Amino acid sequence: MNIPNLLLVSSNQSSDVDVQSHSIRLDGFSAYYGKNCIVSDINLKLPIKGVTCLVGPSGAGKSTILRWLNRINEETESASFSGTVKVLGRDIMSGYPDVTELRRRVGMVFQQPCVFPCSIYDNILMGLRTQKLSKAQARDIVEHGLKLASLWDEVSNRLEGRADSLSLGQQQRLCLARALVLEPDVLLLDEPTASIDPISSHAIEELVISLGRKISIVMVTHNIGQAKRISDHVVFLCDGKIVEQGTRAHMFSPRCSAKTKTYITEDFCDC
Amino acid sequence: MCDRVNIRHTKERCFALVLRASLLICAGTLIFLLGSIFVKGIGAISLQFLFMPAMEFGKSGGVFYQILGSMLMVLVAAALVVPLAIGTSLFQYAFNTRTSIGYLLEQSLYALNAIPSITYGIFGLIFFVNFLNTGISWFVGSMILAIMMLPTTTLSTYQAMVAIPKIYHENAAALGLSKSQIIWRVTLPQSFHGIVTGSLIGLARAIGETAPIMFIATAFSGVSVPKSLVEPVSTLPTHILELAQQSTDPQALQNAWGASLILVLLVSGFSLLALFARSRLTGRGQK
Ligand SMILES: Nc1ncnc2c1ncn2[C@@H]1O[C@H](COP(=O)(O)OP(=O)(O)OP(=O)(O)O)[C@@H](O)[C@H]1O
Ligand SMILES: [Mg+2]
Repeated sequence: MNIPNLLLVSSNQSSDVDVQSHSIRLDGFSAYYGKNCIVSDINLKLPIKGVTCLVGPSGAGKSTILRWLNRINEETESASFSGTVKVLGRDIMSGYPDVTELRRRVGMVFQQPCVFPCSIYDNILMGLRTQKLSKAQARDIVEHGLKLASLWDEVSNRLEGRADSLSLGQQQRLCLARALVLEPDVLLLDEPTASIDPISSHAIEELVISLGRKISIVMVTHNIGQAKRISDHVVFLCDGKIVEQGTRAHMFSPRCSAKTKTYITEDFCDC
Repeated sequence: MCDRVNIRHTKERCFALVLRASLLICAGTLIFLLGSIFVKGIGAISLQFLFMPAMEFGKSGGVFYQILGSMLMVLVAAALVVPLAIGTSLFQYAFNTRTSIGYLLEQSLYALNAIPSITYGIFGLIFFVNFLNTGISWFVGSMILAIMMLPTTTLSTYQAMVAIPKIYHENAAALGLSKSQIIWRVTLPQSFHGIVTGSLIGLARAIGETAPIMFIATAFSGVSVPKSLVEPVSTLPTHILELAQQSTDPQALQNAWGASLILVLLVSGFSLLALFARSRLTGRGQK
């Protein structure tokens, strides 16, 4: 394992990715908690590269969709889904008999930052511990991951310090670094800048844009300005349904639907 | 209006008074008990008492082998119980939370916790000493104490595991860690405090027990360091019992108080360690 080369050279995606034209594909996807249908009958195709922003009011089901893409919702007892979900050309259920493979290829940063009660250094390496790394390699990976997540300058002198003593915004970036060092082919971000100051938030936006040239990123955001800055593709969800989806140029132009326009300009949805 | 406020004030005062009274009764009893053991026992304590074997059925000499026997039995019991407790609670936590077997296991642990200790003693006597023909053996005593500690230690470990916020589990899973890796990296480190406290509380309880080991593991006199698994030892609680039976003799009584003081100190030592471990180790697990 070399140091993560997401930004250095072209990404080392495996060949089956290249022959696929979609990173993620949902057909007739519905998601449930118990008997409650949260997301109903969604069809979605996301390109193999690029940034897709999921926008929509609170409770629309954005996190729910995201949490099925790496099957983390399986850990929630009442959650279930119907329809088909394909990630990198393979069905998430039958195509990934070993769910850890899916989760390694589909990185995720959750809505609430959560660091493990150990050092910053160990947090970054948490997902890599199965691989034999020399000390120097491990250090390089940690440094690279932290630099990507623009956290290096703030923590470089206390890598052995406890991760849970970091501020919330720093913890969120640590979570991002932790996901990045695994070199995912798809990255799911659930409001990654919600608890981050404008400067780091800007740095993360830059990172998302540059990562989007190599991998597929699905990002939930409540910040319309942010979606406008970084997205290639925007999906507007409301009440578990897709109201409209399209390229950034389309969604932020006068040609978009009336509902989208209302949401974008007034942050309000009446569906 | 004014009346209502007054009534409320009076009620609050009464409530505070009741709370204070109950605190005073609890603390007072404890302090009185510990105080009298200390006052009466301190006279017996000397280097000689701590490091000499008992002589004349405990009337003179010390309690060296009793301390040794007690510590040996509970430490071996702890060594037996800790892996079992971790295994049981992990099994329960990882595979069994919502199944009826899991429910049954949890309920039987609570039930086991409530069984009077003499029952364990009788079980040991019938099963090990008589049926398996081990004879009086300190190791059998350790096993019985281990069975007694098992529910406390297991439940404490299990509860510490259940208390880990689910979000840690999800974050580890999202990094591609497998179920067993999550157990090693997340569950066990974060429930470590429960394992330690549970074991120490179990130890504190076990070291003071007389009933379960009286018939199966101890002899009242003439024992030193056991050379095999199937020899008796002498322990502090059984020694105190023996001395109390000669309470007409002031020398024996004095030594009974002294041995009690040492036992109390040992028990409090384990409890304090448990308290310390809980605050230290929990503090590390959370913000
Ligand atoms: N574990 C759960 N059990 C039951 N219902 C849930 C669970 N998680 C989410 N829900 C419900 O599903 C719906 C969609 O939730 P979701 O978290 O996907 O919304 P969201 O679009 O991400 O909202 P936000 O922008 O506030 O994060 C909500 O009504 C929520 O109450
Ligand atoms: Mg959400």
